[in-house]
Amino acid sequence: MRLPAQPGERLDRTRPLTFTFEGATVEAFEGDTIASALYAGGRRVFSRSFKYHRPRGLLCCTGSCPNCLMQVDGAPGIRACIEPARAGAVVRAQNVLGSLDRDALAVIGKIGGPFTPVGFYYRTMIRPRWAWPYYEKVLRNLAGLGRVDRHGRRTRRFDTEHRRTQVLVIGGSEGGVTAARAAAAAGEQVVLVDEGLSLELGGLDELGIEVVAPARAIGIYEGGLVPVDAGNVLLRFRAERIVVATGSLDQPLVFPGNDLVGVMLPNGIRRLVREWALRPGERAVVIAPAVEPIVDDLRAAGTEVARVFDLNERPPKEIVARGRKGRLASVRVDGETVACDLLVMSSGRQPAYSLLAQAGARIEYDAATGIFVPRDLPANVEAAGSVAGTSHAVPNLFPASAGKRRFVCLCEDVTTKDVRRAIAEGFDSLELAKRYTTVTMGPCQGRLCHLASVRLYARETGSDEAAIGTTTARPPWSPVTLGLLAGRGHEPVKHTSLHRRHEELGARMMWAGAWRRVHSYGDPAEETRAVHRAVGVIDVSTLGKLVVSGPDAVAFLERLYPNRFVDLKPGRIRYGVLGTDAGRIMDDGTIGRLSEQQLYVTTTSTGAEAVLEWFEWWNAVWRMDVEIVDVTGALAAVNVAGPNARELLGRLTELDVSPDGFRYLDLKEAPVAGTPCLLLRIGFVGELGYEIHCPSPLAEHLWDTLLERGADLGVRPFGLEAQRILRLEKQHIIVGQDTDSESNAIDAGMPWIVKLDKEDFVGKWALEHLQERGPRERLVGFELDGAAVPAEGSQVVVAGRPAGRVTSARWSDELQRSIGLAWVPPALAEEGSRLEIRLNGSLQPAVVRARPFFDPEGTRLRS
Amino acid sequence: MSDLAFLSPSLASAVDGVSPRYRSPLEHALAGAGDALRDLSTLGKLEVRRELDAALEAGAPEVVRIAPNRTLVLCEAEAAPALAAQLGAVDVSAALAGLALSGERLMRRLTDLDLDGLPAMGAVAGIQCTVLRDEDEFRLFFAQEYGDHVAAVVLDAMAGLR
Amino acid sequence: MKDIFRTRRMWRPRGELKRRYDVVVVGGGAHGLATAYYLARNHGITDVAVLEKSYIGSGAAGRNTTIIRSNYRTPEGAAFYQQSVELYKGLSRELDFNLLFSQLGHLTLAHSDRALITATERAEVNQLLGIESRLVGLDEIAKLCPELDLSTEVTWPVLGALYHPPGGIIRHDAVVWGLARSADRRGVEIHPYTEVTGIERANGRVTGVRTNRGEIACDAVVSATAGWSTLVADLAGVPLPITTHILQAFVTEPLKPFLDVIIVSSQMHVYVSQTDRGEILIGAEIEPYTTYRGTSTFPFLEYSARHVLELFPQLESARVLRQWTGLCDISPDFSPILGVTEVAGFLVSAGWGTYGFKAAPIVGTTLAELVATKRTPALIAPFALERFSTDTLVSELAAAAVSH
Repeated sequence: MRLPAQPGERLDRTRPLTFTFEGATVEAFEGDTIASALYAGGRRVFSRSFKYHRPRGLLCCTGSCPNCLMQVDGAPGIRACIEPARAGAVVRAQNVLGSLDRDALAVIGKIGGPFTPVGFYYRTMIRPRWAWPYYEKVLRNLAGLGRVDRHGRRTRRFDTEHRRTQVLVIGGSEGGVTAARAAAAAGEQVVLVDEGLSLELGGLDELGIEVVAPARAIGIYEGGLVPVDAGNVLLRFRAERIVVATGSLDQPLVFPGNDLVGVMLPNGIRRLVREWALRPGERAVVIAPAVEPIVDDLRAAGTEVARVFDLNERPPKEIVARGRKGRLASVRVDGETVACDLLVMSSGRQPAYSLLAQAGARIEYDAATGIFVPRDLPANVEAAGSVAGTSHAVPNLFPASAGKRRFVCLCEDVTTKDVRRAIAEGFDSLELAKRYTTVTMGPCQGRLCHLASVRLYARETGSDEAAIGTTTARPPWSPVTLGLLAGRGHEPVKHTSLHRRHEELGARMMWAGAWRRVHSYGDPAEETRAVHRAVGVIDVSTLGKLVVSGPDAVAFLERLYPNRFVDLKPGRIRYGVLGTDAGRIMDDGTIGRLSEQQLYVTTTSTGAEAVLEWFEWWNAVWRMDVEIVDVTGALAAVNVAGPNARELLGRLTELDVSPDGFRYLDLKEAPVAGTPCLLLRIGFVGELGYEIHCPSPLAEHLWDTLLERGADLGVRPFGLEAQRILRLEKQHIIVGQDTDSESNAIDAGMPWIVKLDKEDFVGKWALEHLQERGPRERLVGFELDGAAVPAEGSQVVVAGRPAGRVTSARWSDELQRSIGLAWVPPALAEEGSRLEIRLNGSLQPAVVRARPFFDPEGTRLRS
Repeated sequence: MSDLAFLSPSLASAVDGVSPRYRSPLEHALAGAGDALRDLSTLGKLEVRRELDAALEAGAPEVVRIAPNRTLVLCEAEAAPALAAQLGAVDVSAALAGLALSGERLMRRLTDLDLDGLPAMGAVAGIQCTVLRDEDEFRLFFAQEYGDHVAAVVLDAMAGLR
Repeated sequence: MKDIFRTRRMWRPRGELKRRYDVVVVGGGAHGLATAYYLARNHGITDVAVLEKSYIGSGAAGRNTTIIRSNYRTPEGAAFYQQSVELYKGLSRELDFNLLFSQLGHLTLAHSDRALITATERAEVNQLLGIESRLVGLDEIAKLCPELDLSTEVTWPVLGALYHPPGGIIRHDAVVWGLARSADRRGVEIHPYTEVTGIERANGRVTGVRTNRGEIACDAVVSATAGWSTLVADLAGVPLPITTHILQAFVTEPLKPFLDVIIVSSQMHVYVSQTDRGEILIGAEIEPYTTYRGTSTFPFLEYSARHVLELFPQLESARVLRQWTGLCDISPDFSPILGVTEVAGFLVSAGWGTYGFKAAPIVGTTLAELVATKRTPALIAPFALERFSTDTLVSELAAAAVSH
């Protein structure tokens, strides 16, 4: 049923569309909301209440109250009164068992109502203890409103867009439009964001004002960030000036029967009539402070106005609404009963100040106007129009009537009796009472219940609104979906220059920090065999790489590391362990001396950024003559390792690669396969090996050449899993796996690194102390009796208690043994000590091995 | 002093008549992406970490001042090693990927940088970039290991605007 | 049953401050009220004042994400929290107040080999101490949480999880109110809106406190002030090695039952549970910067949403209703600082980071015992402030990234 065309209505009557509600077809026009179309079709009950499942109808029609929350296309909690009707939309009721009109759970409201006072749950179902989980299941099933499909997927695309403007006006209220026009006239760049409720925004674009609508400001965050929900796009606004013009909100009256279907707020009436050409009811009673506009709206719709009570003139003493099956039937005011199906009521309007409060404004009660108003606005934030406090509101509490509830908070079904009871129990501050009764904590965020609850509170405690104050305004201002917040959600990921080659080889990839690295190419055991028997190549481009240069370069590293570097000759390399100022292991890697004043430092893959920061921090503190250049990304690196490594390298370079020409721990610069390279002869995996560092754009060429020219030598790419086994055979540690934030180099079995006779270095005092104190635990190698391999993280057990932990463990094909590294009590750290390691719930014997399992003398490494 | 030749891809030399193939970090990711995006990774790039007052030969290299003590110099790839030596700069040709794209709207989907305040450094596609602007064209320079990532995010943002 | 319908005061209205109390507890949160309650209940010490600068439970007790568990990495931590869980299990009956403790089970997801190692270590330590805790594979995770996205197409596929069946959630405010009621009934005085402005000392001993409502003499002061610990300890001249950070959280609008287990993901920096009211509650890692300013940030919502949807894509249309922050007092080794200080009679419960709430009853019993007997109970001896000078840290760091 529609009225004839109204001036300025939103409907485009030439464009009808249909959607479904609970399976039935609903007719609508372009410009309708879901709620207006349903109302046109005769629907009056739009939801069931949170706790008592009472029928609820349209109240505010501005997206401010919980009364029209529905499921739309599977999404819960949609405010149907502001959700545009879309052709084909599938709309359902939520929080009902059965249907909106016949909700089986309404029994809770009928018989359970008196039995579920505030705080009910805290006092019941305590005994017997075993029964609580069953009670709880029932409770959980009763709670909640909407439903998400447990096995649903992502269905919508949301983007994020960053916007800047000189002036951002939030809200197309009269005050907002005026402010926008003024700013535009002053030559400022203006954007106006409106929820789509305002009708008078035409012509603004001609003034150069950009109107974004329908869109809702989510909040005002630090730095003046104003994120705006614009449907499928999140607009992150930053403005030099923010003008908040969110207007004011109709505040309901609190009287018996105030939640009946047919009780509405003035603005809701206005929208139904003026925007969607609907007749809100047949016979109305009006009780409000400003009655004329309401009466005008009703008359325009052809609704009979049975009785009008102007609260500004003569406030009634008593209001009681009565209904039939949850729908309004009559209103009794001061003894006079008027039959009606519509009651338009309001106590006035309260500024919608939440955004201002979030931005830092102080909220204060103004006794003269009876409302809370924003004061002391932060710099660059302004209030325009009624949000600044130009509205007013009259007292809204009316006396109880036998057997009738007065709802203070519709979202949470909180009655005046609940609040009174909470106060009587001792919840005597607003914040405590809010938590106990949950008033203001529902989907409306206090928009319609905050003022009422403060008034009630003031009356019950014999205080006044000013003394009671407000609760903290928590963002977001309007509920926002996780999908919109998440946006496209790309996680930054780093690829080495050889990434495509690994993919082509069918590698299994894994994360290492932000890097993707090769776990294996399918057969880690074969990969380790290739390194032991022939030659393997592994992509180690992810290593952190720094060039440290300058007159103080060596002195700088001397002060950073516990190692000694003054005697490190150009062309030579040393293993280094970087410590924190508490002497704990931070990172490890190699330090090569390129020349007198240049050093080449490598770090672990995941530690690179922290080490760079650490270096730059100390460089800034010490002010030494040092330059640090991060060349991590500039260089790719490939480790070529195995007995055939020399032969392979020799084929690709003119460098003398003989054992004497290129010794263990030598550093050389030379072209390899035509690419300029830095070569480090080191041996993390325990075999003769060369780490070749080259410019990243040439890495594929180097890699391809190594594989091509090494084919007859049995060359094979290997991944991290093979590397883990190989290094474990040598008892080489992995920082972060074999060590944690408390480990130090002495206890970790590397006391030779720590030169306590050096003048000073980071963490020296702590290491001296640790040296003196003696170890609490030590990192040692172990072999397990038998073939089982304990999971990493397994415990070393002494007398039934956890006494140590396995940090690394693998089966070694080469050694035909189960080997590992573990932290153990010092008493159990000697070669040959017997350990017990818990594995699948039982204890397995193991023996400590202090020296590398494989090639303990290092002859293969140095060959 | 080492001349750090191993940082300069342009110093590659042919062996047995075969020159090392130069592979841009964006080459794979932009294959089939059409011509809306341009790969600038093969440019020579130098980083100067002090006040750059030396007058550079007019016309040849492009000088981008990022911060008082930080300047990015863009030049022909082959010119990078010599120019690096002349300026005492680090050759970052291999470290940085370069990508040119057009459209302010697209950039707003990628970064919260003030697009009227370029050049500047800041996060684009979640990655620290040096961003240059010439009318409606934007050039990004960033750590090459993020090449695939940045390309994917840019292409995805373009899809979102279609 | 009739008690349900009778309106009975939970606690007496705030009275005047006396000139002297045996014990003053600073902080009317879960720790302070538990300490006061157990002082009265276990030791008959009832001349106790709990001073709270705002309303009771206004700090961390009312802002945490309510998870109770004991699957810690260190034997010291695990044994301590095990006792706490045991006390929590009996607390509703003991206080005759339903705290809505739901032992739904707690899953800590591992998305990397490194995380699996940590999970294994925790499971093994826990089992040796008799705590129900074990490593579970994808099949079992799918049974425990069919809603979780276990596909390999996501950025960080799930590889396994640490499962802790006794882990649960509780109504945090109810814990505060239940403890306050029982403490009050035993004679403890609770003074909200009473701020401590000074701590009086003489000869290295506490002699009293100054407040905005006047001075009080006392023999012992227990500081249980979480995010404000350093500020209160400074009043006693006791420097604490603690930094204060904010932790953020948010809830969605209430949904019908969706999630019947607690999900934690360090990799994603989030943990997710569903409250008895139906809200999906999501918390994150502590922010890396130090501050006492509890302002919520928007980037937190964005990255948390991104990460939650990686785990639960079907929550795409769930709406964020409310976000908030709490202050966290972080110690260098991520373990608490509990017990005596160099000022005699000044005791602290501090350094709780993100796991103070779950320790409330055990902190209450042990601190009460310490006050009453002047001897540090063995269970809390490892958490002495002294450990930072003797270098005997109890490192929960490795397991702590996000371990709620």
